[in-house]
Parts: sequence; C-alpha cells; structure tokens
Amino acid sequence: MKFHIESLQLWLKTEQRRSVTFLPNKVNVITGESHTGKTAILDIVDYCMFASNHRISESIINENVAWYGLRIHVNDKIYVLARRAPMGTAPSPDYYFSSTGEVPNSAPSPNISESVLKKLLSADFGIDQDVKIPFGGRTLQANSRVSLRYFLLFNTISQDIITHSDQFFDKQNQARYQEALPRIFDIAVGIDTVENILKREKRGELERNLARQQKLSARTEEKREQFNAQLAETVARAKGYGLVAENTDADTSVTALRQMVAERESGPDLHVSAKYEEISSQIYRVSRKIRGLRRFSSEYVNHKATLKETADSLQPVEYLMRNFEETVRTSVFDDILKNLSQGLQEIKDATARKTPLDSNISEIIKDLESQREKLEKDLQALPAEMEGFENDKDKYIFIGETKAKLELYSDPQSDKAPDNSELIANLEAQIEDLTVSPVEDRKELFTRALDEAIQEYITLTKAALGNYGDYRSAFNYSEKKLHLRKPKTASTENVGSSSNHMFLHLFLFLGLHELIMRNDGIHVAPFLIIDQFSRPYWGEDDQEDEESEKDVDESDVAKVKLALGLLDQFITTANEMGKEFQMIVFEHINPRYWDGLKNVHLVEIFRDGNALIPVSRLG
Amino acid sequence: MKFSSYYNNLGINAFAIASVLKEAGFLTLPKVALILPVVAHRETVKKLADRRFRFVSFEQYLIDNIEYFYNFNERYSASLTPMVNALQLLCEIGVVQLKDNGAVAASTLPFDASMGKRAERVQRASANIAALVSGNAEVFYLNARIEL
Repeated sequence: MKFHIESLQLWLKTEQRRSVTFLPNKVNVITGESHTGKTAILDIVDYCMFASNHRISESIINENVAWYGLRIHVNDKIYVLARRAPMGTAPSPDYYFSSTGEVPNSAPSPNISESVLKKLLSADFGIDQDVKIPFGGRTLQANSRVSLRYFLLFNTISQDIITHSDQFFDKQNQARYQEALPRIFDIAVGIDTVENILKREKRGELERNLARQQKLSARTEEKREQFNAQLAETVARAKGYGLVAENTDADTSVTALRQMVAERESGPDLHVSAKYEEISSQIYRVSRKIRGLRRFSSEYVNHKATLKETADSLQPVEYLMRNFEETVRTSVFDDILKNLSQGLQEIKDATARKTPLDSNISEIIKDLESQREKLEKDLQALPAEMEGFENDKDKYIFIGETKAKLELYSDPQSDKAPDNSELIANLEAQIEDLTVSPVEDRKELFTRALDEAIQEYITLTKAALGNYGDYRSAFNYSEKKLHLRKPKTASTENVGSSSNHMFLHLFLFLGLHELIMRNDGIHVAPFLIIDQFSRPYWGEDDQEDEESEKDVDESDVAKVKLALGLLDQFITTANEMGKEFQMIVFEHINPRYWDGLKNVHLVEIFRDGNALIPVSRLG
Repeated sequence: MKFSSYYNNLGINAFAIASVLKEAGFLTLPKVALILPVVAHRETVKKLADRRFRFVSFEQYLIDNIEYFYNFNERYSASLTPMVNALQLLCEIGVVQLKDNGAVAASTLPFDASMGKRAERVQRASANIAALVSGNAEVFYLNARIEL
C-alpha cells in the first residue's frame, strides 16, 4: 500500500490555523527543546486515526486547539481527516472528512461519522470481511473484524518503548492490542495471506465434509438429514410432477411422499413452478450488479488514461449533440447548453488528476457473490419445468418407485447403505487440488529473511553496538522480539545498555517494514514515527545549548550519527525496491548531525518561541 | 439495459427538478444535471424519502451506499436530454429562471395527488436530494465516476 502524511493541521481556538508539513520518502526531522509539543504530534496522529482514548496534553496544546487534522496520501488519493479536540479525557465523536484533500480555513464542521470513515479507511488498508481475527482471546473474539488500528502498531516507536529492554511494540499495556499483535502479525507482515487463509478454511471444510461422508457410509440409517438428502432427487421429481408443494422443506417433503404413497390418492393439485423463475431472475439481477460494481471500480482508470486526449471535449455535451433530434429548443436552449458546458469543464479540470473513493466495493462484491452462490444452490433443488405425466401409468410407476425407495431408506434394519463412494472420491480430488503451503514453513522462511535483513543493519551500525557488533540477529517469532545471538552458538544473550535496546528497536521495525515492502503488503502503511532515539545518550531532551553538548561523549555522538545513517540508508533501500517510505522523527539534536545524509529533511526547529503551538499564537 | 425508457415522462422530470430546486433555492446546471439520475434510482429515492433518514454529508452517504452509484454514469448520460428538455419547459412556464450560471426557483409547481405515487415519493425526498446534490460538485462528479 502507499501512504504518507503530508501535513498535520491544527485549528486553534483563536481562529488561526497551524500546519506542519512533512515530505514523502524522507526522514522528516523535527528538532527542538523539550516541552514544545514534539511528542504530541505522535499522539495527535493516533487521535485522528480513531483513538478511543487520547494522550494529548491538556496544557498549552489541547487547551488551545479546537480541531486536529491530517492531510494524508493513501493509494493515490488525498484525504483530509480531522477530529474535534477532546473535552478533558473524553475523545470527540465529531469528524471531518474531505475526499479531495480540502483543508477548511476555519474550524471544520463535522460531516461524517466515525464508523463510516473507519469503513472507508479500512478498505484502503485492505481490510474486508475476510480479514479477521484467526483465534479468540479474552477481549478479542475469533472471526471478528480486524481493526485498522491494529496495523498501526507497526508505525510508531514511542518514547515509552524505544529503550525498553523487553517490549518492542506500543500499546502492549492495553489488553486489546496485546492480544491483537500475535493475531494479526502473520497477515500484516505477509507470512500468511487472506487468500491462503480462505484456501485453508475451504480445505478444512472439505475435509470435514469428507469425514462426514465416510461416517455416513457406515451408519446411514441414523442420519435423518442424510436420509433426506438421498431422497432429494425423488422429492425434486415429485415437485416437478406437482405431487408435493414447491416450497416445502426436506422433512415435510418426505412426509408428503409417504402420504402420497399411503393414501393412494393422486396427491395434491399441481403446484405451479413460479419459484424457479423468481430465483433465476434474482440470480440475473445479482450477477448484473456484480458486473456493474466491478466495472465501477476498474474502468474509471481507463477513462482517466484517455482524459488527456479529450481534454477540450466534454462527453455529456457531445452526447447531447449526438441526440440532438430528441431535444426541444426554446429560446433558453443555447444558454442552458453554454452554461452546462462551462460548469462541466470546470469540474473536469478540477477532477482530472484526482482518484475517486473505492470504499468497500470489494466487500459488497464478495457479499453478492455469496448471495449468488446460495441462490444457485437453491435453484438446483428446484425442477426447471413442470413435468406432466404422459398418462396415469407413468404416475403410478413413479409412485411405486417412490414407495420402494421409502421402504429401502426408512427401514432402520436395512443394511443397504446408499452408495456415496463417488461423492467421497470427488471430495478427495478437490482436497488434493487445494494446495496451501503450511504456515509453519512460511514462518520459518520469514524469520530467516528478517534476520538476514537485520544482519545488514547490524553490519552498518557495528561501531555503535560495542562488543555486540559481531553478533547475529535472532528474531523470536513467538514473542515478537529481537535478540542477539553470539556467532556459532545457539543461545541468545540478554543485551545490556539502553543504547543497544534503542538500536534493536530500530532494527526490528526497519526489518519488518523491509519485508512487508518486499512482500507487497497491503495492510501496513509504509511510514514510521520515531520519538527521540537519542534518548539513551542525553536522557530527557533538556540539554539546550552547545555548552552541554560538549560534555557529551564523542562516542555517543558517533552512535547518533550511525542511527541517523541507518534511517537514511533505509529510505535508499526502499527506493531501490521501487517503493516509498516516510519517517517522522522527533529529536533535539542539531542539524549538523545529519550533514551529508541526502534523505533527511529538517521540518522545523522548535526553539526560541517556535513550537507546535508557537508562543505568539497562544490564546 | 436502456435507461432512456424511464425518462420519457417530461412531466415527472420537470416536477422532480422543480421540487428539488425549490428546496435548494439555487443550483448550478451541472448540479441540476444530477437530479434526474438520482431520481431514476428507486432505492435511492426510497431511502431519501424515508422520514427517519438524516443527511450528514455526500461523503457519508456515498461510503455507506456505494452500491447505489455503480451505474450512475449510465443514468447520468441517459437523463441529459430529458434534463435539458424539462429545464426548458420549466423556464417557459416561469417556474425556473436561469440566473448567475445556474437556475433558481421562481415559483412553485404544487404537488397534486393525481401526479401519482412516484411523484409523491420524489416530493418527500426532495429536501434530501437537494442536500445531496448541492454540496461540492467536483466531489460528486469524481466519486460517482461521471465521465466528462
């Protein structure tokens, strides 16, 4: 997926607007003093993306802001999403959304509900009804929808965890996210794909079906449901002859057959087969809708492609002209046409380079397809045409046959088990066709590839890791943690020093993103927000002047430079893959630290009165 | 599927445009052109005529009901000629005036039960239709994928 944050927008209570702009495909650095609101940016991004509780600090920031917003680029579309500032601890339910990236000058007015906006954004994160929680937990239910917020776990390294010795992902103190991580990890990083999961489910289903069939062939008489299935064809024929009513279910049909045989009467009146046609036309309608929706989401691309060539002409106006003879022409005709063309031309110019919303079309299509499948099944159980009896003889023969069948199947002592060997063979063949690579193998391969990628980062920053510089990357899949392993040994070591922990965090996140990009992952957005990785060397970012920096160990300076170099190199690596990646880093270091790094971009310096909410703009 | 067959009724087209315009007051012609394709969709009209329905924004409506839009472009082009004709009729009888690059409601075309069920539904939905088409025209045209 493609994603970057173009700008952060704040609508202040003083009616002013404050924006901070970031570049795509760069390491965006905001540097400055402490208490200037750098960290708040991370909290604001989280808040705008549907956080259910917020961490934006009330003093200075929240007390001065009316609305928080983001202008983001998602899969070639530009959105503005904004959320009204929380009242105290209570987050606001008011959202503003623009599908064309329009940033209102004054405070936005709410125009969309959270659930609808989430539905839209979820579609952009590749989430539909098939992306679900694979197994349950205390708070998460199996088969419930995946929230796009779970995938955002891969996008932040907050100040709480960057030097944590044991914890690599944010929000792990909340039960929901703690349970979500292991449940979505495989799908997020591409170990497993939705397609494979569905295949496995299908396979599981077939296997269960097979087991049932095998059991059935051993003990038919006990299975009423299967007994009815055996008679399905007879029931269908009886319905065709009009001996049994069209809309009776399997159980009652069999009872009706029994009655018919026992009573020696000619059965009920002929039931007209209207249902068949009804279902047929329903299938037609659903199919047409599916075709239309597919075209709706794909063909616009072609239209866009030909736009350049037809820049001066307008299709609707041309259409009007082609159907000239159908129009009436009064004195205002020319005015209307001129006016309409002008208006349309303006719209055409304005929309030429924009992409429409897809929303949840793919989800709707999937729904319709399962509807169609069900209808087709229903249709199979119905006779296509009412069959008439040529003469009474046929009818009596049929009734006789039915009687024999009923006796055969309904006799519990009957050892004549129905022959379902063909069905079993069929199921076995289907199962064989569905090859799905086992997840365990893929996990193994993934872990190896991740270690390989991380090993390169270790080599790059070797000097900063001290005696661990020659160690090997050892990702622990089950704990989702990164360890270091002494070469040629099997055991991992507990790495000391917060500097090393910081590097391990960078390694793991960059490694995961590298693999996600290589796998063309669609669920995790290619961006990363890192809150002050120089923390191990300077602690809280309160060193303000050059004076105190002199006290800093030169080797620590070298480590910070290496870390920045690593981030810079990562952007280059992403570009070599043909991808773009965005990083937003909050720091307090000086620009001289990134001299010569081509992918680093200085966003702003929060110093001398400049801050997220500049002193001059305080209410 | 030919949509043109739905539009042979100049009366109901004119009535729909007039009722929506009355609610909106003023609409540019590209926005007027959106009225008939909306009216042509039974489910849309049914939903918009429902008293419980609350219009929030075009985006909210679109994302929630994107399946209503899949053949919007077809409906749009099929209703162009009828729109131009109906608009001229309304101008001639003085219900609508062309003004400032758009159309304004000059007087009302009152609803009468004899106009039929469909007209009644359109009448009930007209305030919501007006809200739906009078937002940002670019956003509507882009997302309804109307080919220009």
